[in-house]
Amino acid sequence: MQNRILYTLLALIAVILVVRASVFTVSEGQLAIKSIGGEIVNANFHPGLHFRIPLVEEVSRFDKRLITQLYRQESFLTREQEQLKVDFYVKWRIDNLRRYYEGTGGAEEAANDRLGETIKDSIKTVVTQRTLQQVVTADRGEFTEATMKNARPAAEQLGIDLVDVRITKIDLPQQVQESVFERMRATFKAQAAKLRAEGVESSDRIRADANKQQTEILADAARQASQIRGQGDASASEVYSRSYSKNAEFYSFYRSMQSYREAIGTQGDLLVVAPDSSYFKYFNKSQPQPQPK
Amino acid sequence: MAWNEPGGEKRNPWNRPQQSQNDLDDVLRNIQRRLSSLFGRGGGSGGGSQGSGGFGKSLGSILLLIGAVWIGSGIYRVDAQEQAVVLRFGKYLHTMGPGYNWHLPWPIERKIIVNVSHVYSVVDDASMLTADTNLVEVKSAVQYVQHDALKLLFKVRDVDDTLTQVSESAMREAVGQASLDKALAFDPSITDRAKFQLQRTLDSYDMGIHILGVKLTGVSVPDAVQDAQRDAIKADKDRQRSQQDAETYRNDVVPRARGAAAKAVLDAEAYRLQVLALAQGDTARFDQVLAQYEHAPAVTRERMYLEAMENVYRNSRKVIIDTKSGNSMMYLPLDKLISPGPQAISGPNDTMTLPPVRVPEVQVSPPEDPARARGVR
Repeated sequence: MQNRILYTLLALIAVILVVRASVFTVSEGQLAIKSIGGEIVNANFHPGLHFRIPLVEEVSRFDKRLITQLYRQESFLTREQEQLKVDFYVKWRIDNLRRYYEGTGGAEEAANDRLGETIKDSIKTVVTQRTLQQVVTADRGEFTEATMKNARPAAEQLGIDLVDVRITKIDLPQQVQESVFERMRATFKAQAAKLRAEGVESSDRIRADANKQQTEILADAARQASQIRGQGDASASEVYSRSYSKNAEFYSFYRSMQSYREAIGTQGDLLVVAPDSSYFKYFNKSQPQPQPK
Repeated sequence: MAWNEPGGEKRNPWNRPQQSQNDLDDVLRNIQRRLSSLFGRGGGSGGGSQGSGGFGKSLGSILLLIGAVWIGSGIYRVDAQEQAVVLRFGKYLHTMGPGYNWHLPWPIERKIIVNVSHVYSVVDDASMLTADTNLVEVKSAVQYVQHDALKLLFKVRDVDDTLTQVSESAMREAVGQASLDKALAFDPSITDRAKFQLQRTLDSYDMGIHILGVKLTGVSVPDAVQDAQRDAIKADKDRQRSQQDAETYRNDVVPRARGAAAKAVLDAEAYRLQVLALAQGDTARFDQVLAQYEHAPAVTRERMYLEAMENVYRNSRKVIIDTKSGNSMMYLPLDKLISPGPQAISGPNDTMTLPPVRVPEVQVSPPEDPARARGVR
């Protein structure tokens, strides 16, 4: 009884193994080749379950998806002999599986090596025609087109669909970087100098204007003041002369008397006089004498 | 290797003596009974028979167990943000949305769950060249959603790396077409261009990724240049300050000048009025005196003369020398006479003729009043 069960189990396992050896799956995103001893039988498998002759037919799977190959720090010279370190990538996928397998033996490294050389040459040509600035500002689309155009024939030969070639970074060698920094510093310095100069210029201008206004205002006021004073002096003068001219001689006498009081008769003065002025008329005699007035 | 060698003790694959197998047998039978009650009358032999049938029964129940587990492995859950891509023998079958689902278990079908709503972020921080070949440090962030699960899984091999590479390339291209000033000012044309380029490239790879946005989180000049930049900023501040200082000066000087000007004019006005008033006063006085004089000229003249002279002689020291009465030489020690201050005696002033009071512009000379004449300073 147990033997029967044993054999059933063994049979079951055997069946499973045989089934396993005669089917294979191809997943989405995969391609497969069925070959006999290196010779391709079928290269056109859609995703799903497929059959093969166990032990006789071999199945190899390939990635149908977009494959990336990165190239880092590749050197290229610009038109002005400046050396650039460029990172770029190539994106490709298998287009014709049979040709791919025959061209590369199914090894991705082989595909990348062959493609890589062609593409590097292509990029080199494009870069040497341009200055650093042109490379930096270039429309990357144009650049991609130019490089891919050169590399497409080689890719087609390998059964590869070249989808994209794109620069990810451009690095400058130390020296060139330094000179860029120098230039940037100089630009900032020039900017700073210009700004400061502008500051001084407008400061001077405003101050000069202020001083000019000040001078004008004061000068104008001085002129007006002089004029007004002059008017005052003139009208006073007019008043005086109108009045004093009524009797010029009497004015002379009147004013002289004032003057003597003011100027001569002050404290501390010493007068040495002869008694022959009108004042001394009666000094020596009580009767009037002829005196010169 | 067969489980049981001929002639040996009856053994079983688990290498236990027959006896303990009976205990195991009991346990299994219990399980089998429970399972039967769940699944109805499933697998295995009827509950009654013992011995050789027991082995078959236990095997059957184990197989049943495995079968149940196997079938159960097809149950899966999809969260609200997720989708499940189901493949049958590797071929795409369908995409399932949120909730509990079941698929035919492996190796027939398998599922892959993808988050289709979560917003992922790719950040970058690097030195880049601008259009005018200057270097800037740019920090950026790209936000994206994987909205198509099928494409995401089977179109591109290295999704994350691809995203990083394409983002870097797009960012540098965008910065490379902008000037340094634009970059430092976070000009939106840069992020717009980067986003456009990025989405276009990803679409050409058919990745099923949608870019939500590209953002510049930081733009600065390289460290080696920052001092120079800082100085340029400071220079601008200096410029502003120079200008403001000058304006402050102007706002001080001009109003002050206006004030001084107004004052000068007013002072002149005051002078004018003053001088005129003085003239009017003086002449009024003179007119009055003149009127008096014209009434009696000789008398008035004499009076005025004497009063004036009186005043003059009163206040000063005098030496009266009559030169007519002799020709003798006289000795006058003038230096001795000049020095000491005089204590002149005087009488009260004549109140009819008041001494003139002049009020000149600048200073006031002491008026001649009685207190002063007495020699009080």
